[in-house]
Amino acid sequence: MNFESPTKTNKSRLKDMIIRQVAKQGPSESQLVTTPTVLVIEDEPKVVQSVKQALTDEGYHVSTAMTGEDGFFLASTEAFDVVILDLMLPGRNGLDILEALRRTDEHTLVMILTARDTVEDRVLGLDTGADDYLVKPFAISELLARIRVLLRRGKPDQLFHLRFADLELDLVARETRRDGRMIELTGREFDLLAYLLRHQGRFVSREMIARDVWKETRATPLDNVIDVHFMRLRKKIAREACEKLIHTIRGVGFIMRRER
Amino acid sequence: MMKSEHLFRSIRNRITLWHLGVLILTLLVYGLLSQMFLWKQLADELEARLADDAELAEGFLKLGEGDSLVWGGHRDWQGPGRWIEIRAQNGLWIYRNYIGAPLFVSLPPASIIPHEKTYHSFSLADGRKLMILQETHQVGGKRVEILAARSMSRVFEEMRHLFLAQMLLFPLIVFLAWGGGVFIAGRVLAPLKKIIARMRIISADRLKERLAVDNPDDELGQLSITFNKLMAKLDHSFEQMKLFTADASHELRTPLAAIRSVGEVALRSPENDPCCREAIASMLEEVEKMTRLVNDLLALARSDSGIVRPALTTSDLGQVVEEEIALLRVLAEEKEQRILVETEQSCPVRLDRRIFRQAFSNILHNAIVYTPPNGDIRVLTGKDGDTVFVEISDSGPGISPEHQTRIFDRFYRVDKVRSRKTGGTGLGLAIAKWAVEIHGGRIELVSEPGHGSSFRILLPTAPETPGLPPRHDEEDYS
Repeated sequence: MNFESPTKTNKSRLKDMIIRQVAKQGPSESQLVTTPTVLVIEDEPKVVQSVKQALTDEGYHVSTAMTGEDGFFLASTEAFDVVILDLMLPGRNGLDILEALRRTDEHTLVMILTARDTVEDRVLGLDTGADDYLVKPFAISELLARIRVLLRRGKPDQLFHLRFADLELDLVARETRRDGRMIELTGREFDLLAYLLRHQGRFVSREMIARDVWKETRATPLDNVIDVHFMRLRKKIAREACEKLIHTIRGVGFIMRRER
Repeated sequence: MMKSEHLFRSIRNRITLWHLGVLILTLLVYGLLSQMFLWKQLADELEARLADDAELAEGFLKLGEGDSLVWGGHRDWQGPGRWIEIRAQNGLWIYRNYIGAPLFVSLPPASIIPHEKTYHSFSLADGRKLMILQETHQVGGKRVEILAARSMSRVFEEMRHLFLAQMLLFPLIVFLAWGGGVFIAGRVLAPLKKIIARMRIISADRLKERLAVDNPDDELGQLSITFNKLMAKLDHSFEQMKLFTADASHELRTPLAAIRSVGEVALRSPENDPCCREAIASMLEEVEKMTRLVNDLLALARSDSGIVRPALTTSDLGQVVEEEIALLRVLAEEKEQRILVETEQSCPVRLDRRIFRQAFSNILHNAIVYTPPNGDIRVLTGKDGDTVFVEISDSGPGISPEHQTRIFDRFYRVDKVRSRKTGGTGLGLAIAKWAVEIHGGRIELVSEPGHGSSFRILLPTAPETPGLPPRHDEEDYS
């Protein structure tokens, strides 16, 4: 099920303008912008716990609610940058909360986190006013990546060069250099490497790669294809006496980081 | 569409033909009866006249010399077309109103009982038909045989008139009745046709809608009510199924999400000891497999319930196939296999690309997995009459006949150890089969152990007129 996040809306543009204006006003408000607040409305305690920990580790300020009523109460009384919302909640349905929230609040970014994966459900969620939609079971890394994308939305991403350790990518000429020496990569390998570099130091899951690099839904054959490309990419960028940069974390995905 | 139109017309025709059949039978019976009646009447009339003739003739007889009876009337009594003969007991002629040899010698003798009338029909040498009355009278103590005859030409003429009138009138009546029958049948069937058109829309797209019931007591009303009840049931079970898959999604995925997020968060912090990390990683891998399995199972559950409606667009089969091969080619390269592609130009087909590619990629992936290193995989697309096909032939171990029939079954694995290693769920071919069948196509398998397998996906060709693509579900009505 190939699904792309909605393009930049007026709503998010407005929000960015507001954030920028607020940021100009003084250091106290800019502090608020640099540590975004996230509300997690979710009834599965283990999911709440781990999401909270992962978000806290990333530097977000996290609040949680385990029921629909609590969630709506928090969301409508406090200001959050992002609300992560489960749809099947005890007490109050997630879509009801979203609908009620959108009546008074257009700016809070809402990401739906649900087990429902049909196109109809996604369309319904986004039409009700969600900014993103993530299907369970999700990868923590993907959740984090998507929150970053949501918060970055509308800001220009005018990068011409990507750099990590001694690896250098020219996005315009589509050239790759390691330690100053040119490496020949295929188009797909280049995209893959660029994607890893954009997420350097962070985990990327196979779902993320399938969707963002291949623009496909994840499936068994595609997983194998991704693995083959990773293997080839690794071989190509490996240089003698150079440190290993691409790491596979079993069960999680891949990460570009320096060896510890 | 054409077929149901035709069916409709034939119902109309059948009603009209039954109509006409009954009418024609009625007309035939009526015609026959009226002719019989007329015949009887005219015959009775003629008989009465002949009796009169005989009575009158008797009145002209008188006693002559020698105590014999003689004719006392005019010699040419009665006119043309009438014949009178009177014979004495001894067989001698007393009177004949015509000249020449006696005409009626062939008749049997009359009954000797007085006034007992015997009628005969008689043909003259020139073909004229006559009716003859033979009767014995007692005149002056003597018995005489009187024979009176009249031509039947008037009777026949009247009969012919009636027949002609009927021959002219009956076809006219039949023709009018036919026209009327067609009209009435059309009128009667028109609301039915409307109902069918609505039914088609409802069953195809809008399960929530119902037929309007104009008159709940007539047959059409009953039909609508029955259909509505049926649709309500169907709608209900659709809803149930949707609800079930939604609930199952939630119930199965939520714990998976919990395991996964807990495990991933644990792996993110580097301070955990390697042994523990290893265990978590291996559990996360199993979670991935479970997730895949749940996704595949839910996809099949949805497909079983018929909730899934393909979004069809006209595509070229060869192009779709080549895109997918381009995606998976690296897997073959890794095993140093060659994928040989032969695509015939222009195989237009109506596809939901996403669903169809699942089928093709699952089969091609299998081919790559089961073909040994350095082997060849052939992909061939082409057109065969009304169908387009894509054939994927591997040079793998082949599938023995006892497995061939079951290979598309869910969770059926030919080689249990091997297929687990490839990471499949055991549902790949079941999903492929469904994905092809939802397009109105089918998958054929030709395989011989030791000689590789050949999967052939057959799909109906897209119609020539791209402006009017047929709906996928059209065949349900034919």
